[in-house]
Amino acid sequence: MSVFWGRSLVAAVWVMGAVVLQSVVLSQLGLPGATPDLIVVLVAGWALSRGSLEGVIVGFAAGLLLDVIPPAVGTFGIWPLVLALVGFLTGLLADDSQGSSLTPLLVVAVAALSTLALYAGVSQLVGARAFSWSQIYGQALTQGLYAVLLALVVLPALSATLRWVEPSSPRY
Amino acid sequence: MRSGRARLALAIVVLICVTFIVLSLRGGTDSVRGAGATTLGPFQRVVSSITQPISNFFGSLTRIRSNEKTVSALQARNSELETQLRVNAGQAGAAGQLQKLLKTAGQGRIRIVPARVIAIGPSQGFAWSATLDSGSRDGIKKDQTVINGDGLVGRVTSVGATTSTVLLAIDPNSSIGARAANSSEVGIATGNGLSGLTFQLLNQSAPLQKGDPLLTFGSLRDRPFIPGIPMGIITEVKGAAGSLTRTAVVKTYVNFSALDVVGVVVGVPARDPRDSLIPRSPTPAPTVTITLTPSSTAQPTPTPSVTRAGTPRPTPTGA
Repeated sequence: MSVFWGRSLVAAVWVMGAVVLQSVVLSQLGLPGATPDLIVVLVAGWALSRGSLEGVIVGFAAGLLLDVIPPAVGTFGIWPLVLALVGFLTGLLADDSQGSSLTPLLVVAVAALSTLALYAGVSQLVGARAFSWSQIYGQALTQGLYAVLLALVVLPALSATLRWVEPSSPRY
Repeated sequence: MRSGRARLALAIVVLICVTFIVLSLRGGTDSVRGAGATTLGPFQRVVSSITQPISNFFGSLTRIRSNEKTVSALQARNSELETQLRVNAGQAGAAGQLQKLLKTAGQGRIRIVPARVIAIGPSQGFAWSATLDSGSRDGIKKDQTVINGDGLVGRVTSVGATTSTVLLAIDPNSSIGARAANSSEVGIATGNGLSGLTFQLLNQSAPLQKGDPLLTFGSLRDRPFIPGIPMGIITEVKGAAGSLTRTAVVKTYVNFSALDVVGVVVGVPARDPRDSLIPRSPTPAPTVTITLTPSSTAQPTPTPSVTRAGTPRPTPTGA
């Protein structure tokens, strides 16, 4: 039971830290193309390591926080929906991705791209905000690239903290 | 089994999120963001204060080229604006002086040609002369009176096509017929450099008082001096009445060390403006006094009275 609470605490710290860093640091770097999405990397990394259930929970929590933290605008509830879906889908690959070190990076990149597409799609569906698809294509390439770069740092750190709580966790 | 729980969790989450979205579209979730700002804002502030220098550094790396462009553009713009500002400061001062000059000229119904002093005589302290940027093309002729908003500046001694030379009133070679405004005594005001003018009375026994304004007496056919232009104020009377040398020290109204906008008088008033051009002294404010007289028989009646120094006024009576 203490492992469960420890993992919950680690997840909370990671989600909180990622959301705050995302809103304060990454969004203000002014890098060319899309803003690097640390949260997708976290959700996908967690789901890859822990499976669909925790992917859904972490994705939902991160999305909720992302929709609440200032300066969030727009329709409330799209981010948790999208990130929970991504967490669930990534979690399905959890067992297959073990072994190779390239596969997690690829999965994270695909997760980042699908998050972008899902967010645009759901927004369009709900009628909250209209996206032009050319705008999304333009962001997709840099979004995937940044996700891989972030994953190179975040995934090892994530698995290290998980092993610190639960030594039997898989490593990347 | 795990996959089943995950699916259940996903279904619940999707339901919750759809509820959120519907609520949000109906405008029911604004308070959530407010609460988020209250609770999460401090975290953001702390993290931002730590990471600001780092992200600024990386941010500036990505913007290094456009920043260079911005810096050079701003520098160019800045120097341009600084020049403009300096020019404007000068223009504003000149505009103020010109306005004062026109007001003075209008009070005395004098027609003037405005001009700016572009050079002051080279032999400072010996000959006091100035060059104006207007000449015969502007209607200036020799021996015309030059004034500014404060009073007499001098007279035109030579005229070129676009420039003219003024002998300032404070030049030691300048002797101007003058009249003390209050005592109406007549004399000659001679230049004394930056220390002002020396006023010598024609009548040695005439009374002369400190603080008496000095006006130009005027010349034949108003050349070179028109009458009634304020010259200065008597600050010191030297020698007793009846003594052989009886002179007064006069402080000029015009600040000769800072001459800029002046006016050359080209049209004279139909009549002498007399004392109307003397700068006004401040008027005293009225004092309100209320006197209460105690009376044993009747109600006490306050007697208000308004007194203005110098001018008596009817005293209003009654309560």
